[in-house]
Amino acid sequence: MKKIALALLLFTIAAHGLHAQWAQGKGKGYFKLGAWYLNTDQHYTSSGEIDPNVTRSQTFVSLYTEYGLGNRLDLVAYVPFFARATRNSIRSATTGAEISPGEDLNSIGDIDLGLNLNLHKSDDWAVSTRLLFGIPSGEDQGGSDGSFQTGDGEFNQYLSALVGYSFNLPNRIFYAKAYIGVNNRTQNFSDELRFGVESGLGFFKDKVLVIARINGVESFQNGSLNAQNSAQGNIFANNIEFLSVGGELSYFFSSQWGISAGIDGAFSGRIIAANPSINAGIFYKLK
Amino acid sequence: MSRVTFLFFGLLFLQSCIGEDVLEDRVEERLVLINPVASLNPQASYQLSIRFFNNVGAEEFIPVVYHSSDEAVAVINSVGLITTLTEGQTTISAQVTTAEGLALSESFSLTVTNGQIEDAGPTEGFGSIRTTSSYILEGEFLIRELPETEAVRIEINETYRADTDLPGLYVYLTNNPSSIANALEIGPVEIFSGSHQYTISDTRLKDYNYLLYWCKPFEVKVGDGQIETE
Repeated sequence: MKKIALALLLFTIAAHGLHAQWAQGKGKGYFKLGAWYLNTDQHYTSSGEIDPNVTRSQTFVSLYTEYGLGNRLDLVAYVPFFARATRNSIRSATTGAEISPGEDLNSIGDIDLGLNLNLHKSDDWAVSTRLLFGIPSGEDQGGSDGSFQTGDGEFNQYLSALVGYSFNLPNRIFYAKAYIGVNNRTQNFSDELRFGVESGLGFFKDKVLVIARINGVESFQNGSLNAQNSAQGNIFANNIEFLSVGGELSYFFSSQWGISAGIDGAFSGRIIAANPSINAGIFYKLK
Repeated sequence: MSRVTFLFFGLLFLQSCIGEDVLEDRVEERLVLINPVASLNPQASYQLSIRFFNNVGAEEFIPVVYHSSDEAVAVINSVGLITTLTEGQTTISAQVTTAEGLALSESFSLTVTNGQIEDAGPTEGFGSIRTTSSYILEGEFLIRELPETEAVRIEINETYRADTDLPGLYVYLTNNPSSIANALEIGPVEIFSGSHQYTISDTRLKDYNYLLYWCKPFEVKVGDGQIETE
């Protein structure tokens, strides 16, 4: 079960900023207090088919920040200061007796810290690169059977390139962006290729922003970790792959404050939850 | 805005409560003769062992009615103690009535004669491991009682293989292939291909009728193998 949820979570980080490829500018920033929730009772197996599982949930409440250290350089931080993993109890349909008790775990999650460097900016185009360090601050062997994880227990480095294009529509936000990156994982986990596209369109004088996105992860299959060589035989995080589709709706109360809500779900995958995740948050743009 | 935030996080908190799943775990009730015997000497005693497994595969102690078809040859009392009398042949039977009103019975033929005592039941079983999920799991196995011990050995042959991506795979002996509630945990699966064996003490061949492969983190069955004895 290990990190089924995390794979989706970590991947959404790249899309947290509304215009991540455009640098914030010195002294400016974007801050988001958000929550991410997954409730899953089925998963994609190693062969890509969907199998059932006991209902488990994963919750992260986090602070996401992009802060301009310079005109072209942003500090990026994702701090999941509250993470919660649960597993439902199981009751016999025949006798009504409890077969297996439910369980939960609360902790901090894995923190991501990094930099976003703007490489090119014009009226329409922006190109940037991002380096994130995944700090294993979460719990990677929690609960009675070690399967309650709020982190992956490994220090990873994620380097990505982002390109964005802003369409010049009068009085309306309309952008598209794409990114591709490599996640170098340690502790015998396979490295990953991550990629995605996103587009956003403003409505009602840009008070409402509608975002659609597709994300993907492809494993390089170069890590040796599997059930055979892990101590408890319960490893489930390695060689995760998926393609997900999602959308998000943002509403700006003012030029600085807004709220957002979104949903993402894998439509193809390998060793990952097969239910959609939801997210929501409140954000502030420091100008 | 603060109301919206409060409402959202409140709903999130409620969503994160531990819920309850329901497992369909009904199986057929079974009455099992653990140690039937084919022959006994005259004027001998033999304690018959009977086990009843209910509709979730849990052992349950309910009244058993014993009967000998020829009480001139052997008699059996209310706790299953057979006392042989004279040479001849009789059929020993045991019957229970379940809570749902179902009558189950088992019987065996007993010959009373001067000579060596013979067990009537098998001491060896076999089966095929099959996947019940999308993960690879297959193989053949033998299960045999070890002489002079209360133990069995499960010998899984070289055709066995299991998916190494399987999370937390454990193997059990059970009377309910849908649940580990009353199962005997053999241990985590550490061999994923080829022949290997498990020795389980304090267990007899007929104590369980399934080998069960279970994913602990997902609390779900991955595969099983029914133990056949004939």
